[in-house]
Amino acid sequence: MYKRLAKGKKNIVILSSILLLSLVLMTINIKSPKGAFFLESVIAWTVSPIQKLFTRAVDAISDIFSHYVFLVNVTKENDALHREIDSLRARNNELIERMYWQGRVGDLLNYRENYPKKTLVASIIGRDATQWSKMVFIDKGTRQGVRENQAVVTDAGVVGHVMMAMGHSAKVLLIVASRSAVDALFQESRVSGVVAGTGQNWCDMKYVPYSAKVEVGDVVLSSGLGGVFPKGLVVGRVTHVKKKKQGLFQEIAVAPGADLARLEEVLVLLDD
Amino acid sequence: MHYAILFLFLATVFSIQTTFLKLFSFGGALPDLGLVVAVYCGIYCRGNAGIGIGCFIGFVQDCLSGRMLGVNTLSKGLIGFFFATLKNKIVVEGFIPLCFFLALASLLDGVIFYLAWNLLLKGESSGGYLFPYFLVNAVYNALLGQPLFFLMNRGRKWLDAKFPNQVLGFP
Repeated sequence: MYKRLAKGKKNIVILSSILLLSLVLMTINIKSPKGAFFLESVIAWTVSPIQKLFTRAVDAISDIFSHYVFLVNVTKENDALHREIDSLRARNNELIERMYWQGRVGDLLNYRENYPKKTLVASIIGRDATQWSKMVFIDKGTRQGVRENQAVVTDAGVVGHVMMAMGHSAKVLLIVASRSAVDALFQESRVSGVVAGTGQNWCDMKYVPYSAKVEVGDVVLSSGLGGVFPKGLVVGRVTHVKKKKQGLFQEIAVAPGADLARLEEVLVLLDD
Repeated sequence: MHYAILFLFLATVFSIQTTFLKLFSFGGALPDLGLVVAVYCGIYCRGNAGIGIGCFIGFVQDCLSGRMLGVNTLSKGLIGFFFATLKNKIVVEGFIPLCFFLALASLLDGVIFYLAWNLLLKGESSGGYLFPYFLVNAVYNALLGQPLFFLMNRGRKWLDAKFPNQVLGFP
């Protein structure tokens, strides 16, 4: 009888400890959401060499299969063509944006380079340990100049921003993550809104007025507000527009410009 | 020695989880290796060691994810607690019971995550889209758990033969 009571008490103590520990961690996280929790850095530091090893091994194996065992030349040619298409699309967007900019501002401003910021190429070494979040690890950290809240992009568009930087690696929150939001505008109409992640493979563009003319295929760019993403980066394209009978805003779905499911290398836009 | 091997094993498990496991995505769901290991340790670790390991696995998972800290610590800790407390009262041998308990643990993990997400981050996202994934995930974890349990059983036997009577210990 007493033994059973003691066991019951012990279980209650253990259960309470688990709840308390979880609550403490959640509180730490909510109180300081931006800073790297010390143990997080330790764990990322421990795991990242093994992640790199696995990533390299998998890349090597997949490279053997895709380039040597199967279709030796066709795959390579296809890869090259895909890269060229991506590059041409990026160039096209860049030119359209430049044309609009020149149209608006005319000769008042001198020609400037699109991205005056320094950039850093980083490789994806890992993904989220749970499937509920949209986050990736990159192989560059504070030692290479990566800091929190720096934008991460590819030539096809915005990828996300650095949410935590450790010594030699960093966590990048993708724009599709439900905690992510980017201030954006439409390339053509210049109507602004906020591109918010949904936790799935697309984003929602919120706060776009009911009266704004939006069509499927419209390009969405970063507006430069918010201080994380420079102005004019491609965020994505509109894939779905719905106007509810009641409401102030439209429901707009945006597919990210960058292929977030197949990220390999990204550019981190460093601070000046 | 058990602790060192367990640490290496977990580092490998999480490296696999965060690197090439996405290749095995099925219906938008990914297997949760941490959950399977937490269930295994809850069942087979001596005394209450499974609870501590469950909490540790959850904490590492929290650190390697973009979500808030504590959610996985709570869910994996509770899974470890559930199995460590009930391991003498339930039968987790054979294909069907193992599938059942792994699916149950997976659903519990999903529900805790959903509740924490909605209660603590109200307004960011409803999280309602997650429900179909919970079910697919439960089935996936239950099926994948079988070969993983087999491998871990083999590893455990080897470990016990090499280093008997260790602190961590398996019954």
